[in-house]
Amino acid sequence: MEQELQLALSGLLAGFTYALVAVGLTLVFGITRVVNLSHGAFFALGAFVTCSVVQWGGRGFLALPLVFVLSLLLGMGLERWVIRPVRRHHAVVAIVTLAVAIFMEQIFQLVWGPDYQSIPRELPLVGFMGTLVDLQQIAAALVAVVLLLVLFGLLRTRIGMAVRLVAQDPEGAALVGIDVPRVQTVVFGVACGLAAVAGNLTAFAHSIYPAMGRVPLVMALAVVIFGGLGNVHGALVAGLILGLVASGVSFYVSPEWSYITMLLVIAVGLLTRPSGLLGRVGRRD
Amino acid sequence: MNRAAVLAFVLVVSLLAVVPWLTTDRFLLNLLILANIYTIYVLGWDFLGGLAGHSNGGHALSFGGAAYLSGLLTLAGCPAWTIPALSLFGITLVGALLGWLFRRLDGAYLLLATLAVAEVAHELSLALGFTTPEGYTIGGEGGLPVAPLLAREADWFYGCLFWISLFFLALTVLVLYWIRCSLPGLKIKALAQDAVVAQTVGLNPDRFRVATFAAGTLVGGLAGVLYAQYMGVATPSTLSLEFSFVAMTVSIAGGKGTIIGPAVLSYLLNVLLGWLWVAPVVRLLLYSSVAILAARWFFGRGREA
Amino acid sequence: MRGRAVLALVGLLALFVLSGCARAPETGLRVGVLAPLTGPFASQGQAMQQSLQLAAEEINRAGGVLGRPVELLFGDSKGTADATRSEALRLIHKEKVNVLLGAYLSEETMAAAEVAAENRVLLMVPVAATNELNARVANEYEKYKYVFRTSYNIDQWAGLMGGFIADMGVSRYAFVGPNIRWNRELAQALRDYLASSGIAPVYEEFYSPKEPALEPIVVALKGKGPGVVVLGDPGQHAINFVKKARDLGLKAPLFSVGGALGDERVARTLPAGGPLYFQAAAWDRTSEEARRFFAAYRERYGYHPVGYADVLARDTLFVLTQAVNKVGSLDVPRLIQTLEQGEFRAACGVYRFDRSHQARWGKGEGLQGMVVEWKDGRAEERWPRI
Repeated sequence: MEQELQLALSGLLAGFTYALVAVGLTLVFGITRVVNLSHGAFFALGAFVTCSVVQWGGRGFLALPLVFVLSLLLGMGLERWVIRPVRRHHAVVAIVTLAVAIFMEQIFQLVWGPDYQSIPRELPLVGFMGTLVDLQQIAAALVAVVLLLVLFGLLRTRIGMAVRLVAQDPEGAALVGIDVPRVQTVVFGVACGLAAVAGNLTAFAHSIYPAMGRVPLVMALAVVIFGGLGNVHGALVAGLILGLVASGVSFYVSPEWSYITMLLVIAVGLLTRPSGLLGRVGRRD
Repeated sequence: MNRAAVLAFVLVVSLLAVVPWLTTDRFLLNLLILANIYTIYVLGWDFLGGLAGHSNGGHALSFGGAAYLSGLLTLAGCPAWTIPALSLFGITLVGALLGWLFRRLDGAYLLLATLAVAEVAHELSLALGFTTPEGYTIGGEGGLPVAPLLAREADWFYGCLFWISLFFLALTVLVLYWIRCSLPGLKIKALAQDAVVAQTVGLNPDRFRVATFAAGTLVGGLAGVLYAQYMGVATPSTLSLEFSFVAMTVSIAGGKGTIIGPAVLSYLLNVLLGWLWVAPVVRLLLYSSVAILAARWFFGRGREA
Repeated sequence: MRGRAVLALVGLLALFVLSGCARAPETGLRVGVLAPLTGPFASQGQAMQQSLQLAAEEINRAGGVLGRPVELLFGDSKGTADATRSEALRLIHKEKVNVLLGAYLSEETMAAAEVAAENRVLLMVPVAATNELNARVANEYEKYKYVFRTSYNIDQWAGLMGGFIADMGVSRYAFVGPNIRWNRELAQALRDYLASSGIAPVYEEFYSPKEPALEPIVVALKGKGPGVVVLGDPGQHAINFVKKARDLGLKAPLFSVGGALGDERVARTLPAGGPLYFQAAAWDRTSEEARRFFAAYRERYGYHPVGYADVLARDTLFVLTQAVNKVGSLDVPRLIQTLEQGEFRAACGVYRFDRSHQARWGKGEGLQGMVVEWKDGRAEERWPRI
């Protein structure tokens, strides 16, 4: 029973990480119809900045606001000067964001070097009902949840309504005087900020290196699409399911099969529900 | 098809065909052979994803899959002369199957499903090893050897492979361009734009889906078979996600669905990037900056506040 | 637009064809190095580059090769076979190198071997453990006789690690690694080696190299109680595994194949909770030459090298230059003969090649490797004992 609890816990927490990275991506898509392929690079940026802060003697958690603000500003700049001019062409946007990702990876390699880096954990694990509970991972999940709640809360305010209107009907929103481009820029920046925060929160758990954002990007894309494009709740559910699947398969079947099973779950899931688990958006370019 | 385009095409192919008579520089010939092969590969995506509008996130499967089929058939002891055709046939079947299996999926969902299948293949290629009759293992990250049709040691190996790959490239460009400008192409484009309306005029989307998937995979597989013959090996990197992305980005950047644009761009990129030696990190910084600036230049309609 | 593109293409082609002739090479030794300078293995590629640059400087200070400096020219293998092939061809035909050195991955190295065989150029392989490389030399000697490997192959690796494990006095061990062929082979070779000492595995599992779920593995291991856990991953997941293992309370000794876990900057951040060992080709205690090299590396680059791709690349260059100086020329058949028959002293020990052009590593050979333990962030050599 202890083992099952431990596994379930680790699966859920892994799933939470997927979801956190995915939420920003799905948000951006919902509001701007842009697939941001540099999302993983922002995740890596968050981890690298955190790494530097810790190496200079600071605390990882304290780096969180710095990481968020830095990525918010960078993301907004990116949207405004690189993406907005080409936004009409979905395919070109994908290439451009991919180029940005490559560019950022090279900057990481130049500034921090190509070697694997690592930072120690700051909160310990404690025993609870026979299982070991990772306080730092719980804290990370809590921060994630708080951020998401804040986000959902904001979406209910007047500003949030403006944002949602921009998502549903950009022309209509412009007609009622909403500064659509600015909304899109800010949302994009917030999404990049969220990705970087995810990088900050998980930096202690694994090694940090320039290309570290690639796999999280693919996983986030998978989670976003699997959960239904543009659907934040879908991203959360999909993330948790995939996290549990990986954990379960790794333990009960064999670790070799965890990634393949996740991929097969996605492929089979899409066969039965072609618009994603909770998808409402239909065809998309 | 306008006459100027045809003339230009004939001119270019003729000029290229002359190259092996002008030089035996293996470095140059290698570059051009790989350019031929990769351009065929990109055209496969351009047809399926560009013209027919079915975003294929796992195009590397057609290339690497064909190469691996060649390797597996070699392992099974098939006669060398049968391997290319059998591999091509096999991978086309796989493509048709995937087209049928994912016929209800569109856009990003199709992209993800095809991506997932290619990733599974990539994982398997890294994991599976085989023991040879001599008693050592092959496969996995080292790849599978492929029985060559032409002796690699021969002086004319490079020249021959250049002509063969050039021939298939020219053939691919001609056929695909013809399809694009003809009635089948029109039907494909109609279905790509609005499947519902197209159905009202009697087009069967499912059948076309299977056919276009098969065709796109066939073209990608052709490139893969040529690669396997040239390199003598099928390697896991040919099934990688990055490789799938290359097909997509070059096709889109060259003009999705135009066939000619992506062909020219792919060729130029391969030759230029292979020829010019720039320090690695600088090279990537340059490449990505150019891509960003070029996108703004060509596509930016600058409605900036 | 289209017409212009065509004209550009034609013009470029003409340019390439006309510039086909390269400059005449100077005498001395030009070494073409194939390493992944970009891509997922860039850190190992860079380590090779840094070591080789240091090694070249040292060689040139001592008089160079045939009285002239040795020159290094780098090609980026990018982690793929075709990039390696293209770069190898560029180095040979455009840069007119005399010898190739590299690469890193198995698929890269096999491609380099093909090019070397085709062009009858010597290829010195400093890493990549795949067995088929030497099998090809043994079975198709006339074609592949140009290829020599200085690093240890799978069976030797198993021996180097197995020797230490047998010495530990454990009766059961576990093996965890990425689901890649060579890792499975290493697990098998280790199992075979330890069977003769009566040591058996209680757990052998391989995880996906892309997206591993490591915690369930640790949970399973805790239930099995091995005397030591062998980590076959030289990359980043090994770091993650150690963190997870110690966090979840797995106290068994962890023994890594080396690579990422040989990096002191990483080791300092890992949680305590049990002994951590790793395999290296050499460490400070191996030889005076090794000590000097590691010190020079630390002084130049700020950290102690991990003791695998770095020191092996360095040694490969030294073996090569010693062979050339012995022969007195760049005559390939004589170089091959000298390498086959001679002995070459470098940082890791004394290199001798067997009939399949594999350097001899193991008990009773001139190359023994070193098992190192991380104790409070400091490296301490453990085995072979003095």
